[in-house]
Amino acid sequence: MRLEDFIKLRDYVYRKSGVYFDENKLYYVEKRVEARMKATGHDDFRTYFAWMRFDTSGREFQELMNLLTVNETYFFREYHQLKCFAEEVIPEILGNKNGAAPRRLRVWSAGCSTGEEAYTLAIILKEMTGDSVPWEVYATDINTEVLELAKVGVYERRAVREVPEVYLARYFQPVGEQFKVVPELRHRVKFYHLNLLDRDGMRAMKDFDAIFCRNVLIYFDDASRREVALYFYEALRPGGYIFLGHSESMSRITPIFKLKKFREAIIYQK
Amino acid sequence: LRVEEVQSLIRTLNEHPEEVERYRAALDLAGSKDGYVVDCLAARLPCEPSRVVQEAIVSALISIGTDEVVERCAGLLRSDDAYVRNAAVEILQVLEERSLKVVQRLLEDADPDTRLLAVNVLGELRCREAVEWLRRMVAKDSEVNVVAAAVECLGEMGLREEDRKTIQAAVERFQDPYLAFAAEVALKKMGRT
Repeated sequence: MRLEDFIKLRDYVYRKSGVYFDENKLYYVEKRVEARMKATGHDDFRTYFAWMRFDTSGREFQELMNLLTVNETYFFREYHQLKCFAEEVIPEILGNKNGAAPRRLRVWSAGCSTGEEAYTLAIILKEMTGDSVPWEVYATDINTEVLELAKVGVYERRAVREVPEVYLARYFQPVGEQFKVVPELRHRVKFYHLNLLDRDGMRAMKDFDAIFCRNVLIYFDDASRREVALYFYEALRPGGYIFLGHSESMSRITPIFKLKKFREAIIYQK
Repeated sequence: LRVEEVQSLIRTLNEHPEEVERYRAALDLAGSKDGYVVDCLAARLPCEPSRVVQEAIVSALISIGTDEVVERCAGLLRSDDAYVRNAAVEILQVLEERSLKVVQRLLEDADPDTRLLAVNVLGELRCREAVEWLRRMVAKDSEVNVVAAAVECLGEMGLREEDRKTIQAAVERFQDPYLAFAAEVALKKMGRT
């Protein structure tokens, strides 16, 4: 893939999805584009791009995005963001109480899939607050099958490979070759079925301090992405934060969130 | 939505002091396809002080997505407010097929700024006619900024030798440094033969 071809595709993908690929990802992108070209019978990038670009159904673009963004989910994924949440965002939220009685910290994992992110957030909240502040994690997904798996909370070794040893011992029980989240944590994460475009359901979600919606909005079209972003805005407390995937951009979706720069990450804020 | 509900939501959108109430009213109005609702939303967009409510109005207009929305957005392209103009471009882009006739008309507009915005709409469309129209703008438009915008879009969407030749001819015609730069980038994206 020539650099010009990469840039042409990269610019288009960014405009349409908000996902940005640096030039050092050329090889990564090239391999995936080649796979899609092979699957669709194209042997030339330019004709493939034109075919994908003018596909009014949008299916090929989605197929390509699925391949470009394929990411297995695992605990403590995108560590720098979580570190930012743990060490900078949580203390800031707690510090804003201005002497008032501790209020409940509310965090939402939107598009939680099989629950790795939600349980990770629960571990972080428990560790960072020492349970001196009440907290709760809501986790939602449109897929009821993944939600059932999330509630059971049993994971393969590769899903927990980034979990620090001390947390692995504290929050997981070995079950043969697998790891089961301890009951205390499982009971504190509330899993619900929710379509992010369901207006009534989304309006019921409110007063969150932080929403994690990483690598989820890329599967929505332009109009739906804006609608979901508006619901998130409404669901956040004033000053609340929204965490997207590291290559995603909220600015491409709507200008209503501010960017806030922390040491470890740049996060969108209401 | 019943007539009384629509009336109540429009009153809320226009008069309620709380941002969240106006925002909700805007999103709820998306449930109506009434031309009067479209008029109210489009009229509110430029004067609404909250960006969040403006975004809700844009979302509602996209969701309604009728010919009236397209017509009102064509009018909003002439707004003095850059946010409103960009929002109108985005709505027309998302409504795509429904926008085609109006965009085609706007490409002939006497105002070069309006033609430029219409070119920006074309740049996101997925119909093949868009390439044809872009090529025509590159070949015929008298305003260098409009031509440069069309060249940028053609760089992504064009594929044929004819597209390259049209761009090269425009560079010759205007002898403008920015256009020459835009053409170079576009030709690279198209791939030289």
